[in-house]
Amino acid sequence: MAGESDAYGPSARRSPISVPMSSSADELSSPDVTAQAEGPSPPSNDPVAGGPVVAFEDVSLRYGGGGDVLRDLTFTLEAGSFHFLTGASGAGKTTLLKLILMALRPTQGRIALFGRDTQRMTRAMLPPLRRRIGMVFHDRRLLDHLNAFDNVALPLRLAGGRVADYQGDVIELLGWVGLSDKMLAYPPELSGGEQQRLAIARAVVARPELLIADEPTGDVDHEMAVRILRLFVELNRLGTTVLIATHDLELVGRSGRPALHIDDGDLQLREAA
Amino acid sequence: MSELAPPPPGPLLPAEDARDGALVFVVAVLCFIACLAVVAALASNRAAHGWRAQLRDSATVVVRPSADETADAAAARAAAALADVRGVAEADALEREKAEALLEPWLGKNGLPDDLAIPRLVAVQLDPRHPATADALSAALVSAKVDATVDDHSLWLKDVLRAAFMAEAAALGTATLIAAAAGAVIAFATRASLQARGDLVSVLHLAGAEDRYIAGLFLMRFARLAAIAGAIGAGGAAVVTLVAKLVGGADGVTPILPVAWSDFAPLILCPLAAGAVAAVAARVTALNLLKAVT
Repeated sequence: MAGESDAYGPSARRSPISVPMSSSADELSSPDVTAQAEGPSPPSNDPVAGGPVVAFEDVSLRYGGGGDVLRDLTFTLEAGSFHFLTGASGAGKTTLLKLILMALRPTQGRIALFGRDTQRMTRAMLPPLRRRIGMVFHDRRLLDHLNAFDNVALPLRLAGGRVADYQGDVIELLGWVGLSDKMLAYPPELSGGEQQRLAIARAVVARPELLIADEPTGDVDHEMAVRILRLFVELNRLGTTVLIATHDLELVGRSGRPALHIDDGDLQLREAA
Repeated sequence: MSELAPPPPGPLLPAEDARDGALVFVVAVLCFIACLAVVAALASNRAAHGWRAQLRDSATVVVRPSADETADAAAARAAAALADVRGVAEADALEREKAEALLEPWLGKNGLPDDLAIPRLVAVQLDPRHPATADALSAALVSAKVDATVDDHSLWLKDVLRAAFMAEAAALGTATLIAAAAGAVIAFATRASLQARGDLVSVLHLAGAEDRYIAGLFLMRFARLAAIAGAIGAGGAAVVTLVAKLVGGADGVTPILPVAWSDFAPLILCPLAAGAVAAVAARVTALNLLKAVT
């Protein structure tokens, strides 16, 4: 894995995330709304400092011979922004997140990540880009043969980090998501909520530049949901661009953050109330 | 730093797989056969060298007695003439009994009529460093006025060497084919393992692992399994070879294919060779399959 640590750069050596322990959603600070549902910055093949982290231009996607799941989406997520992604079940939220993660290719249109046009990327260019993204999967995708510590440490391990360097951060993060006593437990031994928290810890442990989360609070109680949201807010405060897919509209409303809403394949920006 | 220090990181690829036992067995059997083929090639080579030395360093002279001389006397004169030729270490006329013994496989043990003219043979041992040529031997016999034919074994030598070469080539070819078969088995197992671990591969990919890193996980796994199988196969082949060497005896395998202690040395390399073949097969297969994973 020589050379891979460059992809993480300084982020892998940042100090542990410090998050207030309050569980009040009302304490979530107001965001800088930077999403633009119209008039995107044109994707280019050169990384642009301070430019949009994600830029979709007329992106459509359909599976097989079916109709468009997503249709002519054009939007940008500016660096340091915080958005929810809402929509009915089956509206295409997960599909959109997969497009950002480059797990799917659009049927048409262009997607730029960190200023790079993904269409022009070779296969070898994907891993360094993906290491800048933290992803919380709806189905968690934990590795059942690794204990909780190793699951959380996975991104750091893939970046070439040494256990001695990252174990303090991993243990602290596990403590923050309430899994200190489950550090050596394996995912099948954890409850659904615990697995969810583990997946979130894995996604944020490397302090990604972009965090995308698919229903991260779906299997946790309200108190833990708010607490997880505060973790995301704190990450965002430190510079991480955040996009969270959810259908918990109450949480969205109380957070004071804007939402990108998908309806019938189209995207609308809903400003914070 | 917490006092609850975690244990060393677990393997990214699960260490155990239900198919490992069958894979190790198949590769071990292939390694066993390959090792025996290599030992057979070495023994063939050694046998060929031995036969060549025996045939090249000796000649046989068939003496036909004349009407005014007994066969024994003619053979004795021939031996005396040949002994003086430069490049001859020793020339011995075989008595009638020995000549009859040579004919026994064709004429039986019942004895031959005394009046049957049996050609006498003169066994000639040549100087290994400067062996006399067949022409020189024939010239000496002509000078001694002995009616005889010199057989310097050159005709047999070519056939024997060709046969030995064929045996050696067949053994090495077999070993090569088996190595290829082992590689194919490992490639098949890698493909199955990679497909069975699609969830793991997907997570690693999306977490930013490069293809060569993921392929390296499978490489290490199958190289280790193949090395274990190679050790088992080589161990089995060593036992069989040892039995052939120690128990074969005069009527066993050893006289035909002489096994030396040095023949056991290549068996030590079997685990390494098996591991190397598996590493290449697993890496190539994994990299090809990973191209299809987004």
